[in-house]
Amino acid sequence: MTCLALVGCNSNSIHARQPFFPGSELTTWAACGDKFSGTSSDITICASVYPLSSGALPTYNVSFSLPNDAHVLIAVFDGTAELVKVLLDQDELASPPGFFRQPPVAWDFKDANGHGVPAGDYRLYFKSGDFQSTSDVVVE
Amino acid sequence: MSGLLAPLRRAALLLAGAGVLASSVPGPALAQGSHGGLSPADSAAVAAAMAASDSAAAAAMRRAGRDDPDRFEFGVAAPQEYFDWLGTFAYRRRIGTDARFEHALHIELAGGHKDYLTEGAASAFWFASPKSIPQRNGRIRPILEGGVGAHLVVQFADIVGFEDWASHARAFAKMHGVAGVEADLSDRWGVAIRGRLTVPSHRPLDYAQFVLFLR
Repeated sequence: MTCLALVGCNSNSIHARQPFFPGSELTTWAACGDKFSGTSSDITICASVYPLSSGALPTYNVSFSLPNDAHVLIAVFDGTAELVKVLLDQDELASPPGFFRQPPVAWDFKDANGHGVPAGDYRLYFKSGDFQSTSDVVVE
Repeated sequence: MSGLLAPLRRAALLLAGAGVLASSVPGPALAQGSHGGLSPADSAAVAAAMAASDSAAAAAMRRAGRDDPDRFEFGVAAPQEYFDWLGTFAYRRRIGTDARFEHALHIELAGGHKDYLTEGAASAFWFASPKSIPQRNGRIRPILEGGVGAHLVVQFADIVGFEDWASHARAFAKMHGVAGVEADLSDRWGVAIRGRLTVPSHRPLDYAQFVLFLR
């Protein structure tokens, strides 16, 4: 391919969907090692990759603590910011102080149709009331 | 809209009008004029003849493709990518000719929206079109040109279900070939259908476009 020596010269199509993630603000949720880090006054999120049961494939597991009963929405978006899968969309009970939700919400690296997602950048969104947080995940 | 060549155009129209006037003014007006002055009726006839000759000359020159160095284009395009349709607005100016090619600057704004994604793009092209194309000055004429383009594309993504959005800007430099056909609907309006090939690209034929242009 011939390519002009100008900024941005590449083989991507002009009107194709462009990559959004990871953006300038890479975010990750803390690992779920300390299950007692949450307090009663705020929402705390943690995430780790591990198999939920013996012999199972590793999943990306998100857990959280809520100070009050609230609706929680967790979803995965791909690098073009398109919705891949809604992991959780329901009312959740408040967590006892210092405890995270069990079992965690697991993403098995599949889309809403059950197909494995291709390698690339993904972003998980967590929303509960006015609180919103994100975590970037690279699938290899 | 004629831009820098407007004075030349006006001069050409005046010359053309004068030439037509000499052969189109009614006989009695010439006869009375030769006896010293025109009557009001004759003046009206002369004015009408001048207007008609101006219009005819302008139309002839437009058909010849040499009158209007620039034009505006309003169009829709179907890119071979995520978006189904893009709306386009362009300004095109003929910037010169040499022995074999005619050169044009083409500036285009395009925008589209589909589902969660909105895009805006600003592009600037330099195109060269061979002067040897058959029917080049016809009322219906082929389009064949090639050149380079610089593109700035900005996309906005609505993060569905969340109070957030993402944006991304990207610049491209591409080489393009354009082929199609255009036709005059009137002296000022016309339509064009063309396809754009882009290199480098995943999909070289990446853009089919219909435009309504205004001189």
